[in-house]
Amino acid sequence: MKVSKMRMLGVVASMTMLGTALAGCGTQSATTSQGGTTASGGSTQPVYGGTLTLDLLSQFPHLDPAKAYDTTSNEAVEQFYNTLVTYQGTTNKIIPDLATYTISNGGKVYTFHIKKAKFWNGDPVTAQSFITEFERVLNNNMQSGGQGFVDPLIQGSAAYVSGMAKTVSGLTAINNSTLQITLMHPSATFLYVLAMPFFSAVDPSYIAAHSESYIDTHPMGTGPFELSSYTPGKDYILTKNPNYFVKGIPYLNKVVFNINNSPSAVLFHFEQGQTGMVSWNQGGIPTEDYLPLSNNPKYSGDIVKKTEVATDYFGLNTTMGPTANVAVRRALEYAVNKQVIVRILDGLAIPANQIIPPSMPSGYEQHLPTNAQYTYDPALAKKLLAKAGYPQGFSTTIYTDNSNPTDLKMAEAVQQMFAQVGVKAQINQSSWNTFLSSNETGKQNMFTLAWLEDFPDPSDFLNTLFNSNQIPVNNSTNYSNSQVDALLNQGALMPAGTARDNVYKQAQNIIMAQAPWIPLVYPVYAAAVQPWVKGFYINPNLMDPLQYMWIAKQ
Amino acid sequence: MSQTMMPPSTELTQTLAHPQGKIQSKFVRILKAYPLVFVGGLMVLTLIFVAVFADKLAPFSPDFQFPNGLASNGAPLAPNHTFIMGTDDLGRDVYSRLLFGARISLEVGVFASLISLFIGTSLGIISGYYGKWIDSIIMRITDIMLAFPFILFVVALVAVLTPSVSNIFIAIGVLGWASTARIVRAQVLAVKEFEYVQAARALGSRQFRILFRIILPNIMAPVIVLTTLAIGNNMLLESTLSFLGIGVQPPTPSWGSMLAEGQQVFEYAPWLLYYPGLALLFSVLGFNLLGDGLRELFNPRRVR
Amino acid sequence: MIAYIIRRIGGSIVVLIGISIITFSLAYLVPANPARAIVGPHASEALVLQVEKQLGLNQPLPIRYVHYMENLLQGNLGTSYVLDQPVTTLIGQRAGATAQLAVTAWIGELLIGLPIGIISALYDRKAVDHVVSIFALIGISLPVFFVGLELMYWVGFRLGWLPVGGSGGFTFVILPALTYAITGAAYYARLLKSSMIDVMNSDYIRTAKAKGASPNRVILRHALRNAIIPVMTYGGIDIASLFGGVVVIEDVFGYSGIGQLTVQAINNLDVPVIMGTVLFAALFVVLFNLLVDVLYGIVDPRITY
Repeated sequence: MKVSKMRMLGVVASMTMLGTALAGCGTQSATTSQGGTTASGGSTQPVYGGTLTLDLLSQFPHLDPAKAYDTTSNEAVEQFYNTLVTYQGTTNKIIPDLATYTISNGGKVYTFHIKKAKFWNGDPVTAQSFITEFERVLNNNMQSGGQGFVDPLIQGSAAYVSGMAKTVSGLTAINNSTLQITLMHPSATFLYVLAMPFFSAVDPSYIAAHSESYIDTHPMGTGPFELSSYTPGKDYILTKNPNYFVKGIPYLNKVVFNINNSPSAVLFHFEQGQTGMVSWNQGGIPTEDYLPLSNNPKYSGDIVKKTEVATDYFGLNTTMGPTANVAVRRALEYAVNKQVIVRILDGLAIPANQIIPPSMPSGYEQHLPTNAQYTYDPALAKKLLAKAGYPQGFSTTIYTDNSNPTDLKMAEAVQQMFAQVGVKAQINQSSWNTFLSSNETGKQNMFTLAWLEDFPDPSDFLNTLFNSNQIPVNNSTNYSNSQVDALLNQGALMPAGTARDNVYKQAQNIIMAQAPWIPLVYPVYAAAVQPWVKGFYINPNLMDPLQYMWIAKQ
Repeated sequence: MSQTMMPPSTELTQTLAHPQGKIQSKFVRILKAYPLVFVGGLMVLTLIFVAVFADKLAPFSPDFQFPNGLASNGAPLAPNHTFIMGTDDLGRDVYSRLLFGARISLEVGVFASLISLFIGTSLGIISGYYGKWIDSIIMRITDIMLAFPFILFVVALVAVLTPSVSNIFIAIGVLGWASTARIVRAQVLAVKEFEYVQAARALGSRQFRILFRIILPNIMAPVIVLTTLAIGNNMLLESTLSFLGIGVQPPTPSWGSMLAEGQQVFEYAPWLLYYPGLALLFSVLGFNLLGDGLRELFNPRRVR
Repeated sequence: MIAYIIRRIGGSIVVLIGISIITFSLAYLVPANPARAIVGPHASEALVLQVEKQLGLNQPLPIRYVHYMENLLQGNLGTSYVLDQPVTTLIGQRAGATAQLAVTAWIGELLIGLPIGIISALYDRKAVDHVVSIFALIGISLPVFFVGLELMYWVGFRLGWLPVGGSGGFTFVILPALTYAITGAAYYARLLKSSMIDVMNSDYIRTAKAKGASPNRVILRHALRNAIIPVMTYGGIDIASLFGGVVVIEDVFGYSGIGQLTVQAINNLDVPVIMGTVLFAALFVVLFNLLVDVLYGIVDPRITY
């Protein structure tokens, strides 16, 4: 998912386009000095009851899982709904949520055995609860961002989408508690897809009885918390689901989300102790708030950090302007000092040398081949530029957005680094949406962006961003290489494993040698948690684990 | 941000139509009676001086990100010997940016006001002098412009045009002429009724002669006051645009963009907020004092 | 009088139509495709086209305007691209909060501005006048977001007297309202001062004084009453524009009102919401203008139509 750098605040957080349920991933374990803030690390026994108050930077754009495709909405949807499978703890490991599963027929048939669970209204969860949701996501009228993840992967999905079939042939309810999904071909990432909130259990009779807009504001799920009230412009109040299908949780009686679109006020509220944490749905602590919090002895021990499965990068157009020349692009790779960028970001980042972040479970390369590896060397950059026919450099434009200060800082830093090798760049900063629309035409000379995983698999980076069939919407550098395309298409059909990993590594090496991107940094996500709030942890793919959290105060 | 003026007084223009020479002799007396005009004028002159000589006064380039301009944890540096007003979060010298920022802020304020002044005065004169259906059309358009939420209109236009210094003053200028047009029209209507204007018309003086030789000089006083106040207001508007993320394109230093950056970190780097804030306050206050003072000075009921 | 009112209403309608055309054109110059923004980067081109069709974006501009006006006349302002709810609902949810803030802010302005205006008129060109004038001018010489942030930090955070931001009861209204009052009071002071001096120099006040009416009585009964008319005109337009949303201040304090809705919509290029909120704000200005003109006639019988 394309995101503006690191921070998804305010207006931006309300963009459907923006975040994703699966924001940021990490292999680093949460670094906390107080054990109580990690899920399992607490030495004390969880306490039941209490209210957790959080600030929310905008209202939830959507509460319908089929429509929720931004970090703000998912914060709520994940509390209200459950999926077939989910991620375990702080890891990328898939575990059963509402169903256990078996895979057969060479990875093409998935059989799910659904657990006993009830919606808040008492209706039972059945195989149809999922089929209904799959059909909703596939239905064009729903305008769901999830459609592209399962169409045409699930057998019969294309026919259903085009209206030629009334049902999806690959979705079968063997009986009330058994769901069978048949794919067109084996997929190493299908379970990750199923863990996305798009594919939650919904109550078919509730869906049939209410309008889409009603469902989008009045959720009916199986989740640990129910929406008990929503006061527009003021707050959402969530109360505990006493019949939650996982015994023993949630601990909290109540969660209050105050709608408060003021980043300064969010920080003040936290420092005043009014809110329990500053975290996920706000995109972590913004860099400018990180220093005051980490320098404050009261909180410095309560900051949880994790490297996201995301890469902040600088895109170079491969078909337009001087950067159409691969020699120019390679020269520019040497012009950027990534250590400086890390410092500008107050240390909330790791220098990047490749597309796949180290926090990705597979695909990251410890050692890049020499022609795909670049180190900071402005003299060499200048020499290479001269050799490529630009001894005096050239003029160009860097496109960036105004959704957060971090993007701009990076663009300004790179602008100066380019100036030092003779490339005079102008910055064109616009609102996120204007930026994105222009980005997706593939006509920007250079741009700053970040890519945040949808799920922890290298295909989500490489295939989405570099396959020529993604030009220009996702592949906005217009990068096209038949060898890379062949590798990426091959990898999509392979079972998970070393052979598949190697295919992606091979693709990445070719791409890096041709330099459509300057990978800048891998952002580090930080959350601040009050010492009296326990049980918080960061899963790289999921939002705040409110169901596991408890309050130790009083 | 509205640019209100008191309702124009007809006597004002009557007085100004004739005596020219007396004002000079009253200079000292006026200064004693209105010391604030003097103060405001000095403040504005200081601003203009800084803006003109920014490149001579600034110790460093305003855009250069100093490698030693950030602490090791990435925090900006507090004011010190090298950087007398500290550095910003990219390690740039705040003092140099502040001096160059005077240039940008003044540029936006002045050009935006001149554009509104030109459009507003032209339409106001045409409307007032010709009357009839031309007047109706122009006044209807003026009503539309005045009914618009001004800030939103500017924000929307700048967002569409993509932000840059020139687009900002064009947007503010093109949208901000309505109140000038109204006031000028009222003045013209009043002047038109003067006997000597009527006489000139009857004697067959050419129209542009009447417009430019007689009417224009007579409406200058309120227009000058209005423009002075508008410059200050437009400097503030520029900072608001920056706050909303659609100010001048970086790394260009404007006080607005510096304030917008500063407000995000002001809890631990207050100098990033307070220095540009004081600079803006100083300049806008200067224009406001000067404008208010000039208004009183031009008011015939006050100078007797 | 009746004919005048009817003529003014006719004029107001023309103004509103003009505003709708300008807003509409501006909104559709926006260089962004909402369809792609709605469905996300993984959606197929076919789905994007389908959404464009659903939103009517594939039709020519004049036809879209006609559709828009048809809906508008039925009270339908369209549906937000981002929040997926009717614009009228979104405005309705926030109108109360904005009205509360608007009235409080307006009263605050009057409470600060009018006394300063009276004092500086009475002590015209004396030290007291200069001092209070400078204080008022400092208020209008500062960016509102700067004043808001300082109040938020010092009064809300450091002193902890009032909530630092967000929405809720009346306590949440005070700081944003105070911010507006501080940054707007000088307009009232300025207006009242010059208007009062004009009135106090006029013949009938001199007559009243000559007849031996006590100075206080002259000021309050006569001068103030007559001097208040231009202030009233400005006040009407001022509160009207406040009802349309207190743009920057709502944003600073995270106050969920119409102004914040509009700013978010502009940032998201959520065209239906931009058009709806701008029209809503303009409607208030036009209505209050009308009201002020009519009131003018009642307060000041010298005005003829």
